[in-house]
Amino acid sequence: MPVGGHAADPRPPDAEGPYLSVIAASRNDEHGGNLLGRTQVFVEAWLSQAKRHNISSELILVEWNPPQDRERLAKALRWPADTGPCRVRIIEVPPHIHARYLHGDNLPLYQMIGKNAGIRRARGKFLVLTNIDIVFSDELCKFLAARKLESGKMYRIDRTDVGEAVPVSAAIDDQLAYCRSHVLRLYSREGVYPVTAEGFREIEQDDIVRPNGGIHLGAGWFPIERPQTGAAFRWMDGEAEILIDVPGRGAVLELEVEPGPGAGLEPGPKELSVIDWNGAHVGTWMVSGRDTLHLVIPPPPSGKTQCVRLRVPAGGTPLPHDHRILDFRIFRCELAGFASWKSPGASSLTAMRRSRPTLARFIQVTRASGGPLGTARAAIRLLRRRGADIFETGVECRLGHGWLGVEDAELEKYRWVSKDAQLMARVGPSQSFAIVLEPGPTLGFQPFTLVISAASGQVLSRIAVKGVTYAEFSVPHPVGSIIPLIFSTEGGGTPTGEDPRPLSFRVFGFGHGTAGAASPSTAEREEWIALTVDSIAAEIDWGSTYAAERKQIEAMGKPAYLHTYACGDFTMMAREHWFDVRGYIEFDGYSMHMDSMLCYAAEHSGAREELLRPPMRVYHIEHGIGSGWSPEGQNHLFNRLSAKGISWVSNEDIAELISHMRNTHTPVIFNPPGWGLADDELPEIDPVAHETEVMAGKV
Amino acid sequence: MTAQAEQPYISVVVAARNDDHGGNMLHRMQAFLNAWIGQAKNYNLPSEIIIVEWNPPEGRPRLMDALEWPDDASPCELRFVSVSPEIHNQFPNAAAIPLHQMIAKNAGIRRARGEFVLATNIDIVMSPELMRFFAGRKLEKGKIYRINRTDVASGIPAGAPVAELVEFCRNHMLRVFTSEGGFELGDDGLPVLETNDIVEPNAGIRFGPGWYPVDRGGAEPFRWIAPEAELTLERPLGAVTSLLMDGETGPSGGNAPITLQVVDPSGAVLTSAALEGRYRLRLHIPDHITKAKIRFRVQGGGVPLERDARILNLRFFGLSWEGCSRRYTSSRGTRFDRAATIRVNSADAQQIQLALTAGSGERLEQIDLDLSDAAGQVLLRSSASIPPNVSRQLLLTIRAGFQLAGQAAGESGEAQPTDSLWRLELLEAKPGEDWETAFAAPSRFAHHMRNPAYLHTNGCGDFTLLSKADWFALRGYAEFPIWPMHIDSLLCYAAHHAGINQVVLEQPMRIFHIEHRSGAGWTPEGEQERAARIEAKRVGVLQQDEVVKWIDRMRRFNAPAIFAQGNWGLGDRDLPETIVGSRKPQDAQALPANS
Repeated sequence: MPVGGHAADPRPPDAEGPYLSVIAASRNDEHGGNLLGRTQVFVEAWLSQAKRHNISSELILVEWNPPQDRERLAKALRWPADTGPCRVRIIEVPPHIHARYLHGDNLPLYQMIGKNAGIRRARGKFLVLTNIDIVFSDELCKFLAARKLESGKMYRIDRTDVGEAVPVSAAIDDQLAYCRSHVLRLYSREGVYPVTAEGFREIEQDDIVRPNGGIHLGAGWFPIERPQTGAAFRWMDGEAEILIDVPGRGAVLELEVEPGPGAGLEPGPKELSVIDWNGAHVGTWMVSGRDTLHLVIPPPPSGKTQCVRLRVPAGGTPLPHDHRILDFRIFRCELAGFASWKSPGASSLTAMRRSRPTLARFIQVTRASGGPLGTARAAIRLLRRRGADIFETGVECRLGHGWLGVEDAELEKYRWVSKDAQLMARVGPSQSFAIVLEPGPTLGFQPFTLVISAASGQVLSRIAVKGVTYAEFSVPHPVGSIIPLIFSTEGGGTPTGEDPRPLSFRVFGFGHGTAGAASPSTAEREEWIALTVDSIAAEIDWGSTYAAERKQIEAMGKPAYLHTYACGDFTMMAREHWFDVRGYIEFDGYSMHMDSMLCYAAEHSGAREELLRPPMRVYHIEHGIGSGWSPEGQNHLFNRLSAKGISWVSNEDIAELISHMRNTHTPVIFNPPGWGLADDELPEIDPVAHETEVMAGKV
Repeated sequence: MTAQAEQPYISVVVAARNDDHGGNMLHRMQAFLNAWIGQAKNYNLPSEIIIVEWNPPEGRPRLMDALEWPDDASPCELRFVSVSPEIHNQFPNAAAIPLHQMIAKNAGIRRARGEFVLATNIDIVMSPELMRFFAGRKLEKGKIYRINRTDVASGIPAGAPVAELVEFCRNHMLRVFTSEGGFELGDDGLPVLETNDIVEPNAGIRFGPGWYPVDRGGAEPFRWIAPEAELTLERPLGAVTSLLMDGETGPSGGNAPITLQVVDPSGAVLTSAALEGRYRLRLHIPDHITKAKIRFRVQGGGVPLERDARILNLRFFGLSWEGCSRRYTSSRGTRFDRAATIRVNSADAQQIQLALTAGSGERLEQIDLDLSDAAGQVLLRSSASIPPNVSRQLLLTIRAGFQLAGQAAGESGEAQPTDSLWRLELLEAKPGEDWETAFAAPSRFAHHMRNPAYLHTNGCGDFTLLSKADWFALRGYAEFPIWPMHIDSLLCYAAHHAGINQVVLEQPMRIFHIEHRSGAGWTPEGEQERAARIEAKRVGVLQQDEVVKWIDRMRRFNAPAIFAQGNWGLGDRDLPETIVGSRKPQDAQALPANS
């Protein structure tokens, strides 16, 4: 059936054409092993789904160069008597057309040209190009049936590889159940990842999350990279999912991160934000270097794994040669452990003796100011209950920045605090905290006001500190929650002493307050809190690394990094986009990268990629041959091809093509208007009606 | 539209804005219009000129108001298609590049009504022979027509009658842009030799089409040759009849010998030799021939290169007449007119005349003469002092008489004296450069390429002609919003790999390009200024190495690289258009693009 005409603006042949054309190319040659079995599953699964969801469609199988000694697909496959809203069309590309190509002896199936022949003759409003071992999930079919597809978009999806024993001729639900429970690996946008029995992506060696650490990585993470020096890391681009088993009372997530070139080449901190399990933006960090970040996670709505997403709102700056968008590097992602200091077991007498100078000064100050001596008892209690550090035994807390190391002299034990110190602590039954502290040299040892605030900036308490002071302050947070406390100072004297360190005050003891619990009505809603607890210089200054390419990078704007993994298994666009890019490159060589080239050409022709998310899935039935990829395998393949004089699209080609499209904002299309065997008459049959027709003239 | 004129056979598409680009722009454009309209009338060529006026500058007259044309221009029509600043501003780099020339040309091509569409520029004048060829309606679909560009001096009389215009062009040719490069033309119409060329000045050896410019990238200067390269020889009076040639096979040779044929103007092979590596050749020219136009033809080779679009089969480091010493030059400088020289003025069986010239500040004092046999044994030795009245130059004639014993030479039985034949003699051969590791290495995929070609893309923005259907197949020029350098070359290669073969129209068909001041367009002098301007405005340009990569890729894929969407040439925009020339000017009207 020639389609001729080479119309620049294709219109569906008639308005009553199907909504969707499902197109694959094949031949009955046992390619990849169990080809007929897999094809049977594919055909049945689609026809059942089309029927169940009432999807107006056509299934086009392009049978390329059918082997003369084997049955045609129409005969070799079983067909239901009634295919409902889906018409089946088998379009044959006869051997004499195949014989036009240079490497016909070595390449029996020109898959991409075959697919083009199908595209050229498709009647659907939208065309999904796929393969003969793909099964669409229910949710995906529901989406297709809803007729929400849009022109101006290119729909892509992860490929989910499942075991090879998908039951042939079983009910679709049984087939899908098998697929759901036999997932082997995922072809995601960022890479190909093996999947655990629980359905998580496998944690790799030296990964940024620890095995059994209660955290898995979801979508959005590039593969682990292990540099020769320094820590292993993963890049993220735009958005990345962290799947956390959050304990019932909440947790603290600790991240070690550094901005990448994608976050921008200008100097200054880069924004990293957090999206909670409801999709709400709940926190933001400004990351200036290699920063350690804390995220206080409130108790989850239910006990199962929660998905928290990191997002780089102003990312997306491309690189000249690496087509990935490298917004942030994450080195570590784990639930923060909390120190809970225990008494070293010293007798209370020893503890008293070691606190005596502190207590002595405390009592002196209290007397002089005429304050209540009652607090002395509480102070003694706190100092006695200190563990190896300055914290009360049993108190869970974690130091942020601003704290100096513990100094444990013979008779006194304390930590110096510089300024704006942070402390994360779990709220005890009393919903209050107690502190013993004293002004330091930076404040001229003069009285000052200690201001304790929450992460939101809300002031929790103001404490007048004069000499050694004991104070308690209550917090409006529920028992068991973790809250960050920020200590700042007001007043004080001018700095004295020669110690160059900023030593605002020193803390001798910190623990739970003795006051009774605040009434529940004052308790605040649980909050997400994003804190920066440490920051050191960034390892790489991306601005200067890419100074020479700045102009090129700016001219590129913010191009998309596309999901091209296994895109031959699912690429869906409106018919006019397929015609605009003139289908896949019809290259007389080994079929590799051609589907990726198409995706980039489509993206740069105005069909913007949209990823369909789980539970929408396409399952790919495993087959023995050709599933694996390795660099050695690829080199071996190239050598074999080269020996036979067969050309291929190299990795370098595809990289340069993408760069070129990004640099020029223009697609690259490799076909003349006669693409898709437009000028050839191709026999077509409907295996269900068992009719053979050689359609002449235009569709 | 009513009263549709006869469908034009050819549409001529140019892009411009009234910004005095290149200086004296309107004058040059007027000459272009007059020459086309006048000649189209002369040869009765139904045609249209589509002037795409892109982003007209504010405060300056529209081109339609600044140019003139006859009330009745038939059988030619003029169509002014306007692309507004609003549309222009939607393209990237709008501030830096006021005219996206290729996109503008695409807009014109897309709207062309002719069966064939010529994309050219506003300062091009066609030769009458070319116009006659168009009028002969011999153009074919599936072909891309190209031609050399001949630059002429800028003083063209725009208002003059066509004949005078053309006459001016013919008499003021400055340089020609061929597929090998740009060449300054001498008074005789042949490319002049370069300084430090591979032949001596005035040696009577001139390079015609097929010789690349002198390449100074290596240890010694050389010239590559195309598969056919023309040589014009004029033997100095009395010189011996052999041409010595020093050359080397190039990377396109593959690993097999290359055959060099010497071909006469009728195409007959005179002599040939198989070459491999570095070689020295003697071309013996029949005694009676003193002037000749011959061609070198390369057989074999043709292997495409990875980083050079050219096919480099053979190169020559030097050509000289045997017996004519190359000028002896002082080691201190190149001012050889000041150094002492000895040259053979003439040589034949009876006498040899030498010219001895003293260097600056030198005086000829004494000559020593040894006459030796083949073994080096001196048969005669003499010396003489030079008369004091001869100070700078001495002509010395050596006469020899022979006494032959025994049989007369004519009776030796030889059928024909070999002196009357062309003969290529390999004097010396040794291994040449290892091209595999050189910059100009063969493409790794050379053996996968089905249809590689080196095309004539030099100056192709000034003349590229295809059928309208073929322009549509290729979606016109790449619509990169950057400086347009090299974009036209990519189109030529895309055409070739879409099965549209190149035809180079030969002399006397010519296009004349009216010289403008440097700083716009490509001229040898202006390239640096232009590069500076491009850099200053920080807008990208397609680099030469990228172009070569695209050519390499198209050769490997044997597929055209098309850099445009289906809506190329502003195909989804309505552009206001005014048609003049064949009838009263119409009001501006929006015409949808062809689809």
